[in-house]
Amino acid sequence: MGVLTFRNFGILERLVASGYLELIEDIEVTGSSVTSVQFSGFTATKEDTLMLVSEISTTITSSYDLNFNNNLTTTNYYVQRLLVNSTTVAGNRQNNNFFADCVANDKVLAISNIKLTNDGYGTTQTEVTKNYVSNTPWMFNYNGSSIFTMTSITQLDVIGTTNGIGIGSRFQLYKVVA
Amino acid sequence: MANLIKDITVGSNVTQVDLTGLDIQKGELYEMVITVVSNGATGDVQLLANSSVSGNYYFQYIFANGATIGSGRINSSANVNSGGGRSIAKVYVKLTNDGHFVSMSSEVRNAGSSVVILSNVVNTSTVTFSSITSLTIKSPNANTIGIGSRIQLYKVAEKVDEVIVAGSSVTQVDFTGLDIGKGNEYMLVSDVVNNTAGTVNTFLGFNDNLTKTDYWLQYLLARTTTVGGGRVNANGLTDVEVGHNALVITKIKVANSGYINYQTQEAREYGESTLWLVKLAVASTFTTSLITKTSVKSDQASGIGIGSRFSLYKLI
Repeated sequence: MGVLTFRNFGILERLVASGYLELIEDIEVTGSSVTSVQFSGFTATKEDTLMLVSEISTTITSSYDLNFNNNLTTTNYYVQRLLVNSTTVAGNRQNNNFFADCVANDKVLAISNIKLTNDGYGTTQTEVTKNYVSNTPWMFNYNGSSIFTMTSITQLDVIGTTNGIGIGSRFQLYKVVA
Repeated sequence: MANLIKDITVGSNVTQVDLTGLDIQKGELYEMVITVVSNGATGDVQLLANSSVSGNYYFQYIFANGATIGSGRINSSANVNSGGGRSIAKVYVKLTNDGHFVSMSSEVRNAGSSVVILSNVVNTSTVTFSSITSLTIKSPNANTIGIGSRIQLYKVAEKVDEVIVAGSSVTQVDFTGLDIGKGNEYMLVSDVVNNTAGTVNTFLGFNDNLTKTDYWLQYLLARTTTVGGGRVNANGLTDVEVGHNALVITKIKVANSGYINYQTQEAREYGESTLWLVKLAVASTFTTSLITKTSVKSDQASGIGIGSRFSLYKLI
């Protein structure tokens, strides 16, 4: 914790800084592409709010699942998408846990808020910028939910198609400091 | 400094939940997580500052329900709507520099079911406040905020820099001496006032690169029942028509590949009955390992008016 200054056009004020997020884990893919990454060894209760920042490079067109607590059955989740591609605005609902997708040889940035409802359902709200290296960024929103309940989150798995998570991909999981 | 200000769990079915003893000032940014486990249809659950009435608000929404996209503007306040299940919304809460209470939310409606709905909302008050001492979450239907509903209020604490435009309008605002690397998360809150004679187009640049063609953006807008989108070879932030204001919350990220990305949520023409919702997804075509400077620039000379306020937050 330190003392920072900020400008107010001539009026100097002081602000005591404190961290808003704490990093739980930072995973970077090196060496070779992988199919999945896993966060474990943490506990997020109903009190907690998580944020996952996923930057995915891929050489393979892939969608990506976000799974809670090793429940890898995709039909145990529903997601509602809103997509905007140039002048096209569309939506659909799917019986899975997709939170991002990307075409081959491009990149996607997905920022997800992850939260248990007070009665234990796992929810995600993800803002996606897709295909941005090809200079055709799409905007995707994925708001999803599990249909099973948990008392806490202790594991998150991001899963793509085989080797769909390329070298240089990075996943940062944060918790809001209470 | 604690970030969690309030955490209330509802122990019996109620019509409203009051968060009191608050001290929300104009320079601050707050986040709420509103989880409503409904006891019957809640209708549009209102978020009201300082016990003001819902008629003093407008909200603009866009939703996706399966393949159906819809939008509208209503003379009330809402962030959550639950038809009998549970809904959860993450809500940014802000008192603008001219005192309007503005909130922006993303909602997972009907969580835990097969009919999850996505909703984005921007809210504005048409009345002003010098500070906010209480917030009320209120259902229009009696006792429909059910047992187990939960309201959490956080303060986004670490503001690293701020510019308030005073004295005369300016063309550009710079934040210098920054150290935004690939491991950092930053947020810029731009409260843009246009008191020129025409529309002001503002742009967001990094490391002195304000060349529009070095960025691509995709936009989504909802203006009453009109929904639109488009892709532009530019680094837009907001376009503010004469005599109006806009509040833009921007997440800034240097991707691991070095491309700069930013994503915005905007309440355009806040404080008015003409409120609209805008979102941007933007990426640079160049790469960098570090952002040391970010700039907001108007295409029009002195287009950033007196009363504009720009606050830069470091999340980590």
